[in-house]
Amino acid sequence: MTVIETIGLSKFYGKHIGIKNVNFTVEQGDKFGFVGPNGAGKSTLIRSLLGMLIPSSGQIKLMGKEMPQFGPQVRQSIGYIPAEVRYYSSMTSRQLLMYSAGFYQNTDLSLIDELSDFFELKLDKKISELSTGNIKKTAIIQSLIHQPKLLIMDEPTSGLDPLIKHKFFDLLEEKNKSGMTIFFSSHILSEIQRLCNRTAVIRSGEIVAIEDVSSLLKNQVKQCRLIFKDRQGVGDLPASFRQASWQDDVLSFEFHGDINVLSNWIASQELLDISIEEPDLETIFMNYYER
Amino acid sequence: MINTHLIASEVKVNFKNLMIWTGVVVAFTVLIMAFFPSIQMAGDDLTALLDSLPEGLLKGMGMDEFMMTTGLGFYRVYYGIYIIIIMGVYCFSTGAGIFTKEEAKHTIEFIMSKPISRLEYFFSKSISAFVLYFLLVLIQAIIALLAITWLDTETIDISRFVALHMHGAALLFFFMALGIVSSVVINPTMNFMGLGVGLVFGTYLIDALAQSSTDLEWIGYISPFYYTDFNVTDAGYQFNAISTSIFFLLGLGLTILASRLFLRRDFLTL
Repeated sequence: MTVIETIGLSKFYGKHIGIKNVNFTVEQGDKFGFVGPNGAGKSTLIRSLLGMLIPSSGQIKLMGKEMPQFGPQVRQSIGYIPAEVRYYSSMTSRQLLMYSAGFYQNTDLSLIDELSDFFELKLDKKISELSTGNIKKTAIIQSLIHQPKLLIMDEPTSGLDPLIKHKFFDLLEEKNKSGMTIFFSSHILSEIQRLCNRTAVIRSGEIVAIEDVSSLLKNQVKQCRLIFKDRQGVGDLPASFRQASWQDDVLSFEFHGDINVLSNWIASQELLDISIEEPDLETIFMNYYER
Repeated sequence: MINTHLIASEVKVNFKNLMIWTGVVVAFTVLIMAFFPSIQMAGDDLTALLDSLPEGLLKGMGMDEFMMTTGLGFYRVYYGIYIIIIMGVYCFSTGAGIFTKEEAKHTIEFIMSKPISRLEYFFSKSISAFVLYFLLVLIQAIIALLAITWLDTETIDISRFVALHMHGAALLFFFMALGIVSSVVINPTMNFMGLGVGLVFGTYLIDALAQSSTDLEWIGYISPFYYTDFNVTDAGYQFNAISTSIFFLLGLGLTILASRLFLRRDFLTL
């Protein structure tokens, strides 16, 4: 089942582009990452999905239902963690969570205490007295107490300490295994790499790539370093070796293309050592932005 | 179409503010009525003083010779000016603030991620504003009735009292609806209290100016106060169903217009 589908979705703020012609789908059970720097259009897309912004053109379907017509019905099954959490400062976390729970039909109130214990959050403090991290924990709990089928997160880990982040990712994995679809927007690529199976890259409001995280990593430029016995007998380098540079008998270059070309060439050489590194998501991401 | 959870929460959140405003209005009502027995005792002297003032000035200030002799007449002078202005500012700023606060403080993102439609949100919020309005109007009227009954030696004409308050309530309903529609068309971060004071006090002054001279009567047409009859001491004073209905219908019309505009609105988010 397709959980999120956008068709030609655009949002303009006057002449300024928020998002332009965005087409993508997220299937049930996906852990979908949405990568882009600040201002690329991630929050605009999420707010359009949730009905806070009226799209300039295009279509949105959530859980197979047209938005915004079925918005209230569909949002019964959606949890949302915003990037910058703003709650009612005079409420305590417990009051806020109870208030939030009152909007849903399928709320499990026992989850309030269970999750607050899990995240080590004191529920009886006022929002105005909470640190950014504890407000974020409140936001995470409020997004889960109605047991959503789809969890939309916009930079959810900002403000969380590394230990809580680790627990949060474990919890997300567990929820995903029990059927919850994850939409995870972030500019922290290591988090996308850790959590997601598919990802979209957004640049200046347009999606420039949608791929499985593993194939995104595989199909990218490889950083190669070869140490030769003697550089003299090497001869001409294949054209697919980019950015090649010599330092004594050490050749460094980037390789992109048919891996057999590389392996055949290496087989014909006399080497002392070899290292071929997969680029991390950060490098891939920068490649997209430099194109 | 409405969400009772949201209505209850809104009324609860705004209740403290309502109590402060109600306290001010009720205290003012009791305070001015506390002066009435001594004013009544000096009635002849004060009536002579009023007779010496220009008629235009008296009309502009909502005064006449009966204000010194009847409790309802005395009360009407203050109700038709100060109390209505204070309550008008409350109604306008509450109507506007009930929507704009969510956007200005960015809590709108929390609410709109919930399973609630824009129309449901709009009408639930509007209803909670009208509940607050109703409580203010009702409590003030009850306290005023008790104060007049207690301090005036003559029997109060209930039908005139009710008519006076119905006219006032209709005007306040209109101000609240103006506040709601303003919140949809004006930047939510604006100071709506200042706008409310300016609008309510400004339209009152326009009416006072129109009442003070027949040459300036035309200017009164643009003020809602012009169409509201507070002259409870006039011989034929009675409930004006037409102007009251028009104010309530205009208020409803403005609220429905605001709902249409609200459906097409992008919320101010971070």
